Amino acid sequence: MSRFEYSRPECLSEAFKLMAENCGYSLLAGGTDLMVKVKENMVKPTVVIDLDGLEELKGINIEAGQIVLGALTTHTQLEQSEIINRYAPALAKAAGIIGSPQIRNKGTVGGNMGNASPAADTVPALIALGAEVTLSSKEGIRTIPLEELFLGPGRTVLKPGELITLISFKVSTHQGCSFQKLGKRKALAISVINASASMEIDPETNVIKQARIALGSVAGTAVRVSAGEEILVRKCYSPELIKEAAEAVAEAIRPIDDVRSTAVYRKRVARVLVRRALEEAWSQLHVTRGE
Amino acid sequence: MSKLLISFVLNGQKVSAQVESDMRLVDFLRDEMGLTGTKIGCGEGDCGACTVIINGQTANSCIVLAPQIAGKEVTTIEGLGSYEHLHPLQEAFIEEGAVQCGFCTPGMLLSAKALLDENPNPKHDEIIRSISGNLCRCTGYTKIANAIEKVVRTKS
Repeated sequence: MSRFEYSRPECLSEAFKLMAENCGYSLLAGGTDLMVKVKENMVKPTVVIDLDGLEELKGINIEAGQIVLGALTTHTQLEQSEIINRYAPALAKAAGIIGSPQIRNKGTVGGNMGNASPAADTVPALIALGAEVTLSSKEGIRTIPLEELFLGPGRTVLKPGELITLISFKVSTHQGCSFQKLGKRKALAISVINASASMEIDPETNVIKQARIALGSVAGTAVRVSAGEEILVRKCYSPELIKEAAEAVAEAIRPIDDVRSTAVYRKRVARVLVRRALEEAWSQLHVTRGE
Repeated sequence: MSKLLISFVLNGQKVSAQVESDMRLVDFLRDEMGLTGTKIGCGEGDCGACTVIINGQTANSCIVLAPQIAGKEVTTIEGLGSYEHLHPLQEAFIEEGAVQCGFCTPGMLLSAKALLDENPNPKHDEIIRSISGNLCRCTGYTKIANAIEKVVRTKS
């Protein structure tokens, strides 16, 4: 383990100053990924900047049909939040399935993104929910769709001196969303594959207005699969339609063989997971509308 | 590396100490505070042998830095009971044979304590989930879950 200094800024501007002064910094949110990488010498920070003092990066709020999450929101907070369970149960499910209670108590949603693992569980759920991320630096702020944050395993578009501050997404009673995960065991398992799907319908006609399908662990980053989404849009829900969309997703993805599974297996289970995700998203739709 | 002065509450006592900026909490507890009940297993947040309670929530002390606990409340296994007055969870672990080699036991007990502090009447699957971050390789989870359930039954 390399040696490093420790700093705990009390506000964002102090954090920006520390980031500008120390080019070898690592940001510490929950530490569940960073501390492992430090131990394995995969990162060798000169300074660890602990973000825990930044109160402006905490909290779950709903305003004008939009949910705003502070980047330091922990997985436990997401899992237990009344707002998230009511309006975005897929995210509560994804957060509640990560690692272990100890990991969920520490790990944060912003950290899950910043770590940029293709197997991150909250990421496909948030992509399916249409989330945007706000990145801040002393130069200013920019907001981008979540799927545009990632460049590859462990790589993001974050520039030196920039950090993830907020995650936001719109919620609607006409939208259902689901998250599905396949791991080797129930606890402490990194996803072999995960899938999330959302559908928004026109309440008058029941026609699907918008669909988002996102998968993890099938590419270098979480991916949205438009081939499946296009099959659903402007159609009415049916078991046949869902099957067709799931087939199209399995056909479109290009997973690889790695330590956790094989490409062939991932393609086969993608079909099942996407079908289950779409079925559950549809049933969520009826729950949220009180039908 | 620079030393930092931190103040925090350890097992109910106010403590001030100098810590190295890059020291892990588990090393600080064991080597500086002499509290060797907190074990080092995997060192990567997987096994839960180093579980402590920070501000009411369990954490793996191998992936927490000592300076991070400034201003917080930390409970280790030494804060749970004493030889003279065992905690009901410790008594139940002995009675139910939930301890064999004992290496996972401090972490198991603290995960169980955190659960019961938050929810005194958990269901069986909530008990199982609460110890899902604590690996046991010899006793087996059934006796451990039985011991926790015994405390729940006795209390209610």
